[in-house]
Amino acid sequence: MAGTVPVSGDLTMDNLAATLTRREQSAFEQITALSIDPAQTRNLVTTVSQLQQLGALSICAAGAASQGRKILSTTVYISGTKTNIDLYRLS
Amino acid sequence: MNHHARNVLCGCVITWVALTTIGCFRIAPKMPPSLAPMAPINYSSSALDADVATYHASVANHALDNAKTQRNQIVFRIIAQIDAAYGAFELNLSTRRAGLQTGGDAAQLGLSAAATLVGASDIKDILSATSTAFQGTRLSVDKNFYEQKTTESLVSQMRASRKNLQAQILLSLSNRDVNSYPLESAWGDVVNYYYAGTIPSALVDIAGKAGNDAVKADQTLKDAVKELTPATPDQAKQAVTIRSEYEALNKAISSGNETSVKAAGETLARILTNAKIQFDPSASASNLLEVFKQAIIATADDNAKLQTLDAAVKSVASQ
Repeated sequence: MAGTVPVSGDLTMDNLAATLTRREQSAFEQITALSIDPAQTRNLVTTVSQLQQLGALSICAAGAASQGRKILSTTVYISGTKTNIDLYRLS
Repeated sequence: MNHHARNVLCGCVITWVALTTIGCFRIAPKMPPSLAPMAPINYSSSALDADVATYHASVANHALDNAKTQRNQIVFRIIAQIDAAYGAFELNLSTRRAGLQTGGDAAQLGLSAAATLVGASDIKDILSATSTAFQGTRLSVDKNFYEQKTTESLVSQMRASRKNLQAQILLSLSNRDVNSYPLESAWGDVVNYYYAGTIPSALVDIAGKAGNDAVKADQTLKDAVKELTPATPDQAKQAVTIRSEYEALNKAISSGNETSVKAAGETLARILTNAKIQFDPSASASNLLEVFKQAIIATADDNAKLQTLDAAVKSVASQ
């Protein structure tokens, strides 16, 4: 299950965070990288196997304050537009 | 004239008439005299040498804007010459190939007709063998020179390759100064531009394109299957709820406390029953936990299963 998988570049920040959270929780995985797909308008998410439950994920614009712990800053497609974001883990 | 000679002559006349008929067709309008000699874009070697020397002098004197202008002029003049030569080549390719094929057909028809008319078997054999040789030669030319590609596909590929390279060259000339894109780099691109308008290059591009298209189609199919199912915040909460229940049950079973393990087993049985997931009623709590884990994994890309399992977990928790 773990590996690099494409995810739509048309999602809002909330829906991208929900997609990644659902993936982590349901597939027993942990996200390690998130980037844009150079070939298409979409994102690529890389995960590794993880048995322990992790907190839900939250995404906000780069630099904007959020609860939780920042786990990575990156550029992804949000609603089809390249956007700088920070990815947080809640709790 | 004897009978055999007359029949062979008839065949030759049929062939000649067919061949001369080919010359009656035109496939392009007559070129205007002003374009025909390519005089305005005639770029002699001595003129090129002089321009290159001027360009190098400008670079040496750090007159980079002048050097850029001179670089662009040199490149544009050479491209114009290549374009003019390519236009003639493309027309010639279509005309000659069609002409050769039609001529081959006509000769073959004539020889076959002659072979039918003559009575002597030795002459008939010679004419038949010559007809077969004509056909074989034509197929061989098609196979060895054109890889059995149609003229249209070759021309189409050459045009596409030339357009791509021309766009790259124009972009570089427009956006890059002589430091990042000197005349020598532009020269390399222009040489590639020339070769893009040749049949060997078109054949290589067609073969490469077919391979790339197959790889791309295969990758697209794999990606389409692999792409994550977009989720909503509610679905993320459902996934978190289910995993939280899994963690709690896992903790209870791992504790080794008999009461806790038994309670966890009963909870798992109720969840699996409510979710309509088949399980062995006599299985241990650990085995039921594994069944629950597989059910959770199955919800990763299935919204219906996620909703059903979430409802089952919540219904048990509320009891």
